[in-house]
Amino acid sequence: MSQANDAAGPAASNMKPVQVKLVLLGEAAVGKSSLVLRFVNDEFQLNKEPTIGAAFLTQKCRLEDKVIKFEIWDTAGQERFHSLAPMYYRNAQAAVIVYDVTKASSLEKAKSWVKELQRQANPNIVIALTGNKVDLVANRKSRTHNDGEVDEDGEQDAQEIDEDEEDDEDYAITRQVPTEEASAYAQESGLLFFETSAKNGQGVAEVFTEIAKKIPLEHILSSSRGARAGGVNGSNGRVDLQNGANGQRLGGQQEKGGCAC
Amino acid sequence: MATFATCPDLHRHPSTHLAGLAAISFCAKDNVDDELHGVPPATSYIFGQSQFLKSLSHPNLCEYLDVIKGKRDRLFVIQEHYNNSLGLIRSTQESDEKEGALKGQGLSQIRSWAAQILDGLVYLNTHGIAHRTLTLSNVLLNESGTIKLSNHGLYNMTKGGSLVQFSIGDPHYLSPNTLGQNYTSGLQDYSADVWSVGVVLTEMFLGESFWRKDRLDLDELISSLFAIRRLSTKSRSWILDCPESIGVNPVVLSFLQSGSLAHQEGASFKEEESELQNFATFLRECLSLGESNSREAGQMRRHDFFKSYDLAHGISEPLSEPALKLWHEKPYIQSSFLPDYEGEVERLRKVISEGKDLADDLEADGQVPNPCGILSKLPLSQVFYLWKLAGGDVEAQFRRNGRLVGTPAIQLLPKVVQIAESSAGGSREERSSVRDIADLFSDMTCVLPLENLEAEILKSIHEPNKDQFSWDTDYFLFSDPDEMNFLQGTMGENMSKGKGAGSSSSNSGEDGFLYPDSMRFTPGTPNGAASKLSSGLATGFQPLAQQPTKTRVKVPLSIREKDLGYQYQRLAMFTDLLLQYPASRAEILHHSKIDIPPLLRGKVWAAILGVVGDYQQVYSDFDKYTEKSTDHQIELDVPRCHQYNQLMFSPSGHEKMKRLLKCWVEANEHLVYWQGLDSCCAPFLTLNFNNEALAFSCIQKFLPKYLKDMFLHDNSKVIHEYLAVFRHLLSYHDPELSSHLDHIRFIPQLYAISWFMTLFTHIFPLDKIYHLWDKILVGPSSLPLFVGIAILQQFRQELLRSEFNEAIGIFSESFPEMDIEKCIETALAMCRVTPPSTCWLSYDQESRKMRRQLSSGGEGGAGATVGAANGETMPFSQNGSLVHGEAPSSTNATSNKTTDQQQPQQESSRRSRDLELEKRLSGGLGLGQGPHGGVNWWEEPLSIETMNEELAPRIHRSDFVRLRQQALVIDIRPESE
Ligand SMILES: Nc1nc2c(ncn2[C@@H]2O[C@H](COP(=O)(O)OP(=O)(O)O)[C@@H](O)[C@H]2O)c(=O)[nH]1
Ligand SMILES: [Mg+2]
Repeated sequence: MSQANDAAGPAASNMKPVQVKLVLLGEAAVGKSSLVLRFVNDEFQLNKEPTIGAAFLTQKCRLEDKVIKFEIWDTAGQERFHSLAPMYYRNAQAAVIVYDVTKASSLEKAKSWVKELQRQANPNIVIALTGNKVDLVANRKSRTHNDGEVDEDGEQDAQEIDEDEEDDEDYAITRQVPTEEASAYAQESGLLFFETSAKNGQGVAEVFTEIAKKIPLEHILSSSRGARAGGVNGSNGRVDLQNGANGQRLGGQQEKGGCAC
Repeated sequence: MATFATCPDLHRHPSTHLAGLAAISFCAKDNVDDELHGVPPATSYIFGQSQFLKSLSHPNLCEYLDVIKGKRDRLFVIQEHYNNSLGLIRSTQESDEKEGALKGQGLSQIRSWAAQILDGLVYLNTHGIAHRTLTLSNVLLNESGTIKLSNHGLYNMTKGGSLVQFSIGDPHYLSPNTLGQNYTSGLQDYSADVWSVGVVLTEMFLGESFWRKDRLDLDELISSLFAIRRLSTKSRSWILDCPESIGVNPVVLSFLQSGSLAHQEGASFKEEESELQNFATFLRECLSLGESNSREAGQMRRHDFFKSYDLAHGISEPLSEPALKLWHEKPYIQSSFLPDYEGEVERLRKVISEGKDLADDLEADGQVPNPCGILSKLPLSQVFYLWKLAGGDVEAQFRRNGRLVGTPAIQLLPKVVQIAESSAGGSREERSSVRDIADLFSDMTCVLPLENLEAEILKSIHEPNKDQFSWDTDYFLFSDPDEMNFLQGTMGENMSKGKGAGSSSSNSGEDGFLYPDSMRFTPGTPNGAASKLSSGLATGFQPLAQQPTKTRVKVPLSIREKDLGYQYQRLAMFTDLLLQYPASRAEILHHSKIDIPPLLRGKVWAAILGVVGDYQQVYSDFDKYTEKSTDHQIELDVPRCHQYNQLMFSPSGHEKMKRLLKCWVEANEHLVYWQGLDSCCAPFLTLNFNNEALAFSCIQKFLPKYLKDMFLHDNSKVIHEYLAVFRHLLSYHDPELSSHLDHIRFIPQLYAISWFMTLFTHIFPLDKIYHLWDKILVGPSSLPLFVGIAILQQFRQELLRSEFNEAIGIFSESFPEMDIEKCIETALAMCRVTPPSTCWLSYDQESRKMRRQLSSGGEGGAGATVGAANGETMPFSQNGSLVHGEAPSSTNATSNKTTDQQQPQQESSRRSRDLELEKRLSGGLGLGQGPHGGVNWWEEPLSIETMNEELAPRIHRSDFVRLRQQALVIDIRPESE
């Protein structure tokens, strides 16, 4: 993992971290929780339990002279939990929308999330589209992929081998989402694009550092300071209830704290 | 028929009277490479597959008792065991022969063995199992000579041997057809066993081995088998055309061919000629090969050869189906007396002390001692369980018997072994090479010593370590009968009737008592309340003599669960109660409030939930195979559900879980599959792994009580109301924490959805869930809410110090370690002192009913005078002062007047009440509707929005009346109301 993922070093420790609220969205079992776990604890659990509702984690990372504290909401994947999602992505400054490169349907779901965010989330939200589980399609070619580069020429071969060797449909490892297709889509929708593997860590840190680079940090910093001065406990990790008096009541204050550029 | 009356794990078959226990051990194939590609580990496959074997029960089969995964994925399979076997008989016979005794066994003996072996095989075949390891040593005999087949599951559980690196079965007994057979067809090939039967019977009859002595060599043998197979494709009967050169023992061959005995030696074979011929044809049929004339056990069992046997045993149709089951919803079993365990223990102690010498003699003989002992009455699974509790350890037993001698792994590396060889000499080398193969599998069974178990049990009943823990006085708060909910206690009859409606078929009022009556017992009068409880049963019913004494119960649960004597008593009692379920439901419920013996938990839970009738039929009636839109999600979730658990991780666990969930989706059309349902079902599946149908019925009873409407397509109202009530309860019990959490905006929506939607199965591992649910199941349906508060309270200090991020950090992802037992105690204690109205949920049946009863009573003359001032709610905090929340102050009305509530219910008002609740469910109600329809505004259920606005709960006047004595109440209503 890159050093960017390290907790703030001694030089940075006395700096006020910039808090960035980030939300993970995507179909169930594409590896959202695994990505976060890789980013936060640098570990991977096979057969991670599904997320119910949502989970919250934080991780600091350093970017040049600033410390960024990601407050990450990892959401449940099942369509039914959709109604809870706005609670988590409202006020988010960044979103990572994950799909599974071995599952074409997951990209479709990802696209619908992009649409929803562009319609309903913070207008300046930074969205990263991330194709996860590349280790599954890469390991047939070579197991030495660590650099985030995906060898596109090799894909055809990989597929052929798969079909010969795997007798069990469920475990057949074929890439279903070509890199170019997803990347082209990301480009036209103005999203960051990555391919990652939570399993071997490939590309995970980049997702977060690139997001950090793209977010107008200065702006957040100044506005959140303002908010603190105003007496609100300045945690961007807080979430609005979609409907309910509490959300409405604090809505105004949050506006101050949130990114309003 | 009582629901569990036929469950094999609650019975001890008389023929197993003197059964011992034995284990085999082996290692599965190491398929690490495949695992990388998602193939489940072989060990896990075997572990899951072998569970099914435990459910097999037949008088001619040794029961499978357990499969244990030991160190380094070594598997231990524990089975019923007998020392005597055909192999043993044959070898003693051989040594006798040398002294000039007779060869072989009499034909009638052979016939009886043959019939029993085939009966066992037929049973296996109908359950889809091929034996494949039928050899002399796997045919055991009990003390009265009944055949008990053993190791019959080995081939099946290892997927036809494909998951292990040793070959299964002794080729001397294997059918030539099995050579090179792939396992998928082998698993279904029941005819191969018939060959083995033929060989076994031939050898036993003739006292000769089937194969010529030179065929002890495996290569020779295999080529013989191939030769026979080739021959059988050419000739109609290979036996008749068989040349001597093929390797079959000439004596055997001549008998098979002629049906008469060439060398008639002495008087051994006095059999009638025709019978002999008959037997020979039977054997020839057993040993026939080829498509057209291969036979399965069922066909062979109907052979003429058995006519005389069946006549003698009164079996006209040997394969008759079990009689049609007749189900009663509530059978009455009046005549059966529950045994008096204390008396039994006393008697046994005497027997043991008197017959000490006798027992010693028996032990010296290596026999299982003490035919009058308690062990011979317990189901074998319980014997094994108690053996483990008494300190038995299968793996250690193997070591003690000189197997699995631990060679450090490093010595197994080829290079290291070589060095050792040069330095330590030949003997060392020999051992390590032998060990490698022998350790994969040795068919030598390791007998588990049971000699001392009985004495151990009696000893531990004799010496309860009660004093040790008596310092822990407030450990079991609930054991004090005076601790009853003072609010509920005074609720009167109408209340307790309203409760307990959670499960429709349950006896009314059984949930009204939270605390076991046995807690009231003083050691001197042990039979107090039980008779009261059983008053519904026949008058001849004897109250349970054996009650855990109060001191016993004070011992922490974790200790009680490991206490041999205590578990013995509990097992014995619950076994009897379960056998009489559903008649015994009240008692089961009563005793479950103390604790539930882990070994019987699955069935006890089912009994508590009130599962009755032919649940198997119910389950099989649902379509579990048609594709559905939720399949995709289920496929994704099941392989991620509680995978640390061996059962849930195994492929058969995955299959079962998928079936179960699909069945649920099919059975509950108005509900949908939400992620998390899998977690909720996991406890039931793991506890009833061999009984999906029971697991399913439990789920069907459980979800409506504790998670009603959580799985509606749109459950947001349900969840939000639940969480709002949760927030109110927190503020009622811990205002400081509540207001802090509210201040940092740490709202339950962010952390508690997964707690309540899965009833904590998503946040706790299964072993904790079992204990938690043990209590939740016998408690009111609001108990989970209190458990939630108890969880928060365990982290109280931390939470009070925390800002939002730290607070949520405590509960995110890896849930913190916590003391479940303490958590349950806290929850129960809170539940006990909480005004019931604060837990009312509009979707919860119990609260609906209660509210209905109260308000219909209160409304009295339905829409009479408005200003009757007979009811109100009020924000209330623990210290008794009124809290002025954000709620409109006009609602803060209280009254200290009571009205008589005994007026009859009115249909119309009840219906309108239902309507209100419906309305509330579908979006909440505005306030101030006035008294139209007989509802005063203060009786309106609150909308979720209002509830969210108010930090503290409103308390219904019915509770308030009783609270008045404990709290300061200020009536701030305007005069007009
Ligand atoms: N091979 C592989 N498996 C992954 C990867 N990320 C996640 N998984 C697996 O995919 C499944 C779903 O992961 P999870 O993080 O729970 O997905 P979520 O539902 O999107 O949060 C788990 O069994 C993970 O072990 C990856 O990068 N490579
Ligand atoms: Mg997840």
